[in-house]
Amino acid sequence: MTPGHRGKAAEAVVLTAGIQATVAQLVIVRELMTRFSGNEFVIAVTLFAWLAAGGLGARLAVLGLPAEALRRARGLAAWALAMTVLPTVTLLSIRWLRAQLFAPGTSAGFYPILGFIVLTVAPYSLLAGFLVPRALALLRALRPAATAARVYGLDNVGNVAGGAIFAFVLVWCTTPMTALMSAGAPLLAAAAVLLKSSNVPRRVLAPALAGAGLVLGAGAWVETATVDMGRGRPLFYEETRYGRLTVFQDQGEATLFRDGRPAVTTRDPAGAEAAVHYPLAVVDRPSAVLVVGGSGAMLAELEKYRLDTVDYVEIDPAAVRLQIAAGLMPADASVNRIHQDGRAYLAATGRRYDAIVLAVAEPDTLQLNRYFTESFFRLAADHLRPGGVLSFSVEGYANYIAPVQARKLSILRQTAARCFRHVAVLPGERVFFLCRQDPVPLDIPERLAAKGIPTTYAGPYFYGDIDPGRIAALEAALDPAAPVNTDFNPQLIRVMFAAWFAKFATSPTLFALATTVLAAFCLRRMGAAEYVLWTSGAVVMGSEILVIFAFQVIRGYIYHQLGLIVTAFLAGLMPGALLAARRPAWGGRLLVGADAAMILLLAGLAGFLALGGPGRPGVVFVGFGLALSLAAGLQFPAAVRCRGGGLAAAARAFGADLAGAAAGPLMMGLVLIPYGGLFGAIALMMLLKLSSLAAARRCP
Amino acid sequence: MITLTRRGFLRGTAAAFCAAALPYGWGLPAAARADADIRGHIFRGDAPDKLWPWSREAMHYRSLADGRTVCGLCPHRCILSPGDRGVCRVRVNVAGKMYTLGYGNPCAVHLDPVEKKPLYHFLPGSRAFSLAVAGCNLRCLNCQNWEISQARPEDVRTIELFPDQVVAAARQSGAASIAYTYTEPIVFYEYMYDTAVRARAAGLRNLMISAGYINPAPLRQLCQVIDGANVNLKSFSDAIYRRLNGARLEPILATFETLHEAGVHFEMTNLVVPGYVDDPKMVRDMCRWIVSRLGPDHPLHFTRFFPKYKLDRLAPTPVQTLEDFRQIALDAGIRYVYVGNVPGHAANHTYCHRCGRRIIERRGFLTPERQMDGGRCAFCGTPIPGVWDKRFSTPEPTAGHG
Repeated sequence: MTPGHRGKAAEAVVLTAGIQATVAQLVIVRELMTRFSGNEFVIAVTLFAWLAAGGLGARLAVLGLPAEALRRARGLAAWALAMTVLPTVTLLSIRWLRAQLFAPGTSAGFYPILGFIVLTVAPYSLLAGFLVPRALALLRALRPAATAARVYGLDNVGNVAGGAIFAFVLVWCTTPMTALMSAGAPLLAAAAVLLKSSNVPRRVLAPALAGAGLVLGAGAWVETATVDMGRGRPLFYEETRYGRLTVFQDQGEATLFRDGRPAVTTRDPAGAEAAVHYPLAVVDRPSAVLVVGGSGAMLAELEKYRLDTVDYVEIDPAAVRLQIAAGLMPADASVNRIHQDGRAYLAATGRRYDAIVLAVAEPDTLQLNRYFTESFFRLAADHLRPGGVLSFSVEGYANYIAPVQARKLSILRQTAARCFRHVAVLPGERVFFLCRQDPVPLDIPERLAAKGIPTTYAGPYFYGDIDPGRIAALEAALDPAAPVNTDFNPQLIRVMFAAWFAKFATSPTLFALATTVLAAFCLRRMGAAEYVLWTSGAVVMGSEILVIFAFQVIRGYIYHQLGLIVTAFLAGLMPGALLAARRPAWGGRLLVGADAAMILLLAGLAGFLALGGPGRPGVVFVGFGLALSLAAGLQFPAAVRCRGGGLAAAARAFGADLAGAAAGPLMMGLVLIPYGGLFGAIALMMLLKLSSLAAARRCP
Repeated sequence: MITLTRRGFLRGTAAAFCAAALPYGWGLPAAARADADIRGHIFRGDAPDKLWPWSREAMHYRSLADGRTVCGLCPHRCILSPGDRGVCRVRVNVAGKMYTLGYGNPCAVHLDPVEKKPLYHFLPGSRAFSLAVAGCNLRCLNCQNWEISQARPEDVRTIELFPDQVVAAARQSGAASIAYTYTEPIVFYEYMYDTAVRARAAGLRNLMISAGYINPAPLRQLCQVIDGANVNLKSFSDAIYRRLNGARLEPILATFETLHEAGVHFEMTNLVVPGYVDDPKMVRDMCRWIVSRLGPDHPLHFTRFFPKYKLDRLAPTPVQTLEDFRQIALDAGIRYVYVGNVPGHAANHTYCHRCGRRIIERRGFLTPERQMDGGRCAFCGTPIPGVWDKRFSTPEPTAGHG
């Protein structure tokens, strides 16, 4: 084969590796969320570990290796072949090691999760970062005119394609292993062509390719066997856009797990009765009820009231289907099932209800926080008939209200009190909030008896669990000066983070110190051009997290539009890089100009969020993502040129970009949004970019 | 800019990995293996410099010549150097003497139905003035009260309530008993003991709700002042005790024998945690042991597990499992076996072991119907084991407020 063919094969490896990397990242993040906890810490730490290891890999790729070794096509092909199978091996090792290292059924604290993620994710992401500079070295050996911008751009095109393929195709029709198989196949083919073009003997080539193919296939073969997370007989297993659903049957009783956590189980009257009868007992003659989230057992309890209307909003149709199939939900046609984001539904509907029962999971993610903010409570209040009630519950306490728990409950009470004249808070292992414009009577057992509603829990256990002494103790623990939880300043999230750390008796301080020291160490060694790229990586990825959060607040969880936003944040990089590669004379001015553009874009985003109403068009977020990524893409070739344009410069630039991208989500999800709110976070990103602007002016 | 050499880079990389691994290494030991022994450890140098008003010199310890102290209260037998804090987080060595930091400073005080403990054969319908001090000598992965059991007394919000005040408050509340509960009362032994002595003198009963991880000598002393107990028999396997609760089985079995020999009324609770404690063979062995060593009369409660604390990724116990275990226990000869945490279940009621008729109906924590004549079955006159008193009727529902 000619060097031209070999070059094309090497480019194909970069492109297909980019596709696989994005798919693998999404699959592995989802897997880690189901194995541990679905909060921002896990997402941020996974992305951090992934991108930081990628940055490290990019730096390692060119260090100390003789130039000759860098240029060998066989070497690159062998790495590509290893990369083909590594995501499958990573996924299997995550599943196997989770069971080996952690007691069955337990959740884990921050540091064990961090360690686990670093150990399992690092090998693949190191290799993914390593591959691009190696490919550039080979291409330069084959075609001296090959540019870093082109290779970087190809990698980005692969990333964009991978993201789009996952969001619009694979998530609909594949399991994690088959998604990895699908995403690994093109890379396997590209590696095969590259190996063939490097004259690898057939006796080596055939077994190597067969072995890689076998690993990919074996992953799919053991998919269901390794997904096991419950006891008893697996009844159903389904991957949906919203997560993993499994149903296990033990001793004839079924339990639906959402992302590894038991969500609905047979014969659990206590939870369902409390969620339904506490609010409905206080309404004189309820006829229309809205349930957001919740279970089939709750719908069964509602039947006791002979209501005219029961609207049941559950975003994931598969969750309903599996509950019905497992006998966890009555297949009752009288319930209007609405498969939509609960908040988006409420914003759009003109219906009014006697009771709105909010039964979503704990507000321990930014996504769920949207249901516990002043805006949502206002929305609910506006959709209640006179005398109506909004009820919701959060994890409570058995006998002692810890300060962090008191803080959480205080914030919720203060937030609800902004929209309702009366907010009753009922103590217990689940703390219930009953919110009305009229007083909330708490003689619930007597009211249920008067209505003729039979219960086994809500009535008989009420006064044993919710006695005046416990109500008074809770009241005394609530802080009337607690802040209000709002969409753009999620006070609750930082409390939930604190509660999570308290549960495992750990603190993030050591991690924060370690990452700060590491960042300071790296930044000190960076040149001005790399610093610009580092900040751009951080701002692009940080903004992506912020925009996803803001979009959900405004428009609800709309899967495709979120996929489009994620794609937009990647899509501008390649055109930007190619444009800049054609304008070598612009030099350092490009860095300055792109930085200034990013600052303006961030200011524009802040203005859009501050001034727009609920009908703010989602296309603005897409446009923002495209423009921001375009600006970041413009900087890459310029920064490489500023540093001399060699292979080492390209690897350093790539590493800095990835390291910044690693820092972005970590800063945004864990610090900036929870502690600064959306506008504080935008302001801090603008400050970061201003510092970068100062550095960019030093680049020739 | 500083030029980075290969060696420098590798050194930096190694340092970065070590930095990343440091917190992992720190967090790993507790979860290093799925079957790890999670028993607690002594907190070196964690004792306060100065004692606070809620401290007393501890009972059941001995001093060594070198200033160390050996705690004799529980089977951990912590050997503390001056400045150390025991596994329970409550007992400390200050200047060669052992002190308890949990005396007169409860962090939770409530008035509960006695059925909530659960105690089904102890003055049904009565209320127990219930209190807890922070700390515990176990490390249960599913602890319901972890906010206080896994905390130091000085880290939680407390109220001052010395023994005389407890007794006064209990009497004022109309409670029939004082329950030392929620956390592990063994760790606030001195406070419990002194309060129990005064409560007895004031005509109140004393209840210990415990995991039973205590040495025989202090327990024997305690038996002189307590009237009833609910003790968790969390499993019948030493290995499971070590990995689920951070304790050992043998000392707990000894606790049951001591209580039995002392004639204290006690009931046993077995929380059936799926995957840990739901082996029918183990339950069969456990029931055989109970009947052979403790007799058939101590009530046994099989309670349903719900996800709690760190053990929040398990499904609740299937009710059928509880029913099967109840049948195993009845077949083994235990006379009073209950199913707990299942509202409305028929095995919440008490049935006479002789005639099989329902003698106490339970609806939640209420006992709306009782067919008992003193301590006997109203139908056949068979004595029912337990502590009974006609004075306590079903508690009146308390009116709510708006």
